[in-house]
Amino acid sequence: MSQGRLTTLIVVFLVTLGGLWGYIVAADLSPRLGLDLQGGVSANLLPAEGQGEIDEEILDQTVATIRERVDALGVAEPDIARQGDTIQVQLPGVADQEQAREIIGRTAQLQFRQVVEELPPDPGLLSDTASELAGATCDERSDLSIPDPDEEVVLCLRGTDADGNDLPRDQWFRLRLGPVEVSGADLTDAQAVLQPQTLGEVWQTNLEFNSEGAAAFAEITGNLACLQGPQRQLAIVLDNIVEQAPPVAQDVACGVGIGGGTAVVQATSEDDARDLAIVLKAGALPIQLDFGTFQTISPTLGRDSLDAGLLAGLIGLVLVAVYLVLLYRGMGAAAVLELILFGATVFGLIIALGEWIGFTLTLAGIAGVIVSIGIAADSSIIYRERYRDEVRAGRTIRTAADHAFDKAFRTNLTGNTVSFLAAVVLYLLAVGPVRGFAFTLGLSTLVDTLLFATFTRGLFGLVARNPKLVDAPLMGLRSGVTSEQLAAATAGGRRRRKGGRKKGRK
Amino acid sequence: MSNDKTNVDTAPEEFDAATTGRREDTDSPLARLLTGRSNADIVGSSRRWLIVTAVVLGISLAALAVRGLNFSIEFTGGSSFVEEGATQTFTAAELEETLVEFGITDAIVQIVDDGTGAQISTPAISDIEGVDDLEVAAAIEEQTGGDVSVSTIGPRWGEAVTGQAIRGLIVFLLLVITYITFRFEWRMAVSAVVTLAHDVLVTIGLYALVGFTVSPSTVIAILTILGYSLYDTVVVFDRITEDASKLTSVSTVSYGEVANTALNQVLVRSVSTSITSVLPVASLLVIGANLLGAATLSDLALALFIGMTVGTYSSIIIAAPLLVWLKEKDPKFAELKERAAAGSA
Repeated sequence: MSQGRLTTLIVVFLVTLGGLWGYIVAADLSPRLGLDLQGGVSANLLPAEGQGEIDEEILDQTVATIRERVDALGVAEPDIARQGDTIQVQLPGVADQEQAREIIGRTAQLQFRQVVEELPPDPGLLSDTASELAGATCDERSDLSIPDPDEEVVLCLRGTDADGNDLPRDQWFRLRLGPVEVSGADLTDAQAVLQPQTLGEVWQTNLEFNSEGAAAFAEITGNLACLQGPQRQLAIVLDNIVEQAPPVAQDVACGVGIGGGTAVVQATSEDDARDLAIVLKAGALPIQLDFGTFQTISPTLGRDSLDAGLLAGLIGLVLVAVYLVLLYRGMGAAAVLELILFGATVFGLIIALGEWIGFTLTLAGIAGVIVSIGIAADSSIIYRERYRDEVRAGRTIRTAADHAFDKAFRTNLTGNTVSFLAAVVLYLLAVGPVRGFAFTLGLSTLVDTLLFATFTRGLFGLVARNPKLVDAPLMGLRSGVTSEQLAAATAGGRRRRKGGRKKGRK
Repeated sequence: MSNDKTNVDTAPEEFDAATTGRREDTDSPLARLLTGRSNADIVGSSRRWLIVTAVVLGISLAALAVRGLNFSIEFTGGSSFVEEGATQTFTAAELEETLVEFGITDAIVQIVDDGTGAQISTPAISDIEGVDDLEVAAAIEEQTGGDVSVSTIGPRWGEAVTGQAIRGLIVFLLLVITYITFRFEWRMAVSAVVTLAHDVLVTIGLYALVGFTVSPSTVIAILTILGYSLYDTVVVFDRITEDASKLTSVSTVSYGEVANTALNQVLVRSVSTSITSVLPVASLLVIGANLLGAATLSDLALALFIGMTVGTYSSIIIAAPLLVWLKEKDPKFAELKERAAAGSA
């Protein structure tokens, strides 16, 4: 590789790194810190034992339900995610921990209530603002407390646009609802089905009740069938939000109602039918969640952990740097430069990835970075040892540097593949803190290979091509080799170089 | 390290023939190691190492059988309270008293940070759905005037974490065996996995022996050790493969001798890499252990510290000799070995 191309490698790397940090500084980014580093409430929930197999859809719906509740709690940047069977909830800076625990651990509540009155989204349009509850718009309301099943309540009707996406809460209608007529516990199943009709096929959601539910359902629909307008609707309420309020069909006879323990809700689309079925199932099969972990971390402790982690990393870096300089002198100093750039790249990427993909840095993540200092140092060491081998084998300094790179890079790739595999498997299959650790470890492995192929290669190559640096005792390029070997290796090299220089002067 | 020695190496007079002989005479084994002239017969003395390894493994297994592992509350369920920045004075006995008022009798209370902090761990406090531990935290806060962080772990959590770790382990091992088999050969995959099993056993054995607490961080660390141990082994194998590729049917050296030379050549790297890997981990261990609450850091660091050390020596002492043993079962290399032995006799 020519001197120019080596310089290009270094420049490309430095410009890329500069660009990354320029972006970070310009956009004023800082790393997204995990709860263990900034304080807050963190919980992992598991489905309680003895509930049989719980399917993915129900777990996803449970996550959605918890998310709704947390939104109502008003937490700034909540993070709710499912990992396998585990639901991870991260709530930074929550003041009322008891409320948080009660709310995220609660079982979903499914209720069927009669619609008494429809209220517009904006209470300003409302003449009757008798109750304070009725006065609040949906985005002002808190849906956290469980309303009395025997009382009238005002709840919000989920508003969706033509594509089925949720509208902003301030555009949701509110419904005044009667007491609970049928509870989710009496619903045994819900399925989305495609029903043949005279005018083609229609999606619908089929409901099935147990005997108690069937009787209650027949009674309420019999009553509703005698009414017209909004009051003919039966609201399906999950966790204090009215999912839908379908009217009782016109062909249902007044006083008779829908019998047989089954009912049908017409849907506008397949998605619509499936969504309702999942909502109903999640509420009907009340999945019990157990807290796998529940942690509250005070901001002081988070801050201290962060400081400790950073300090440990810094000290680790310095110790490794000292060792490398002791072992390799000038070449070691170059390795220290590589380590510093490694640190800058990994840290920069952690910050940028926080912005791009929402990656949060946790204590375990910091540990991953610290462990990876060893990986980064190893690349430098493999290269330098290889270089010494090549010099011992009689190569000139310059060709030794190039040959050593080829061989060392191959080794680096092989070793890093194993580390990277480990990180990916850990990331995909593990829960909780393990993921943060695996992520930074995998990231560091990639950065290590990248840095090695560009900056390390370029820098070492250029140093080996610079006669003054090659001969400078402090660089240590000639150390670590026996005198005979050196004499043999350098005699030729020196002569050639001296000759070259003379030519240059002429 | 032998810095003075290497300093001499780079001095300009090193090209002076007169100084050469003198220096050769005084070279210590360490200096020989650092200058790549180490010639320890690692493969040849593998029998001796086998005995050492067998003894170490025996102790590990015995420790596991007799003492068992000491699992943290993450596995057994329980609560831990970390008190920080107390503004009122208190004693461990006073805190214990408060806990007893809640019916908690077997708590472990430690006062840290010159009396301004405390760490308390208790077995599972009643029902985890209850609010008890938050009430306990509030009571401690009232008593100390500081901030209390609470961790409550359900009894099933450890099971879930361990289950996932085991699944991850199996997938990882399959992937790695496949990778090494394709990149190198199956004998190296076998040697690497045996080495790996050794590393994990010795690490866990040490945990049993000393009675260190096994936490989920330990599990993470052990998974990392697997990666690290393999990484180290693969680097050694890479070198052996490269050197052995020059072996032909008319060579006068055996596979074992080639492997031994390769091992000696990568010895500095192995030692240096271990040192540079262990230094940051040691820093993590010291800082984590001395800093209140950074238990994740110190747990992780401790297991890594042990595992990395074990992983380094095993990649040299176990992986390579095992590979040579497997290799020389192959008629082609067995013949080479015979010829090499005959030649040197």
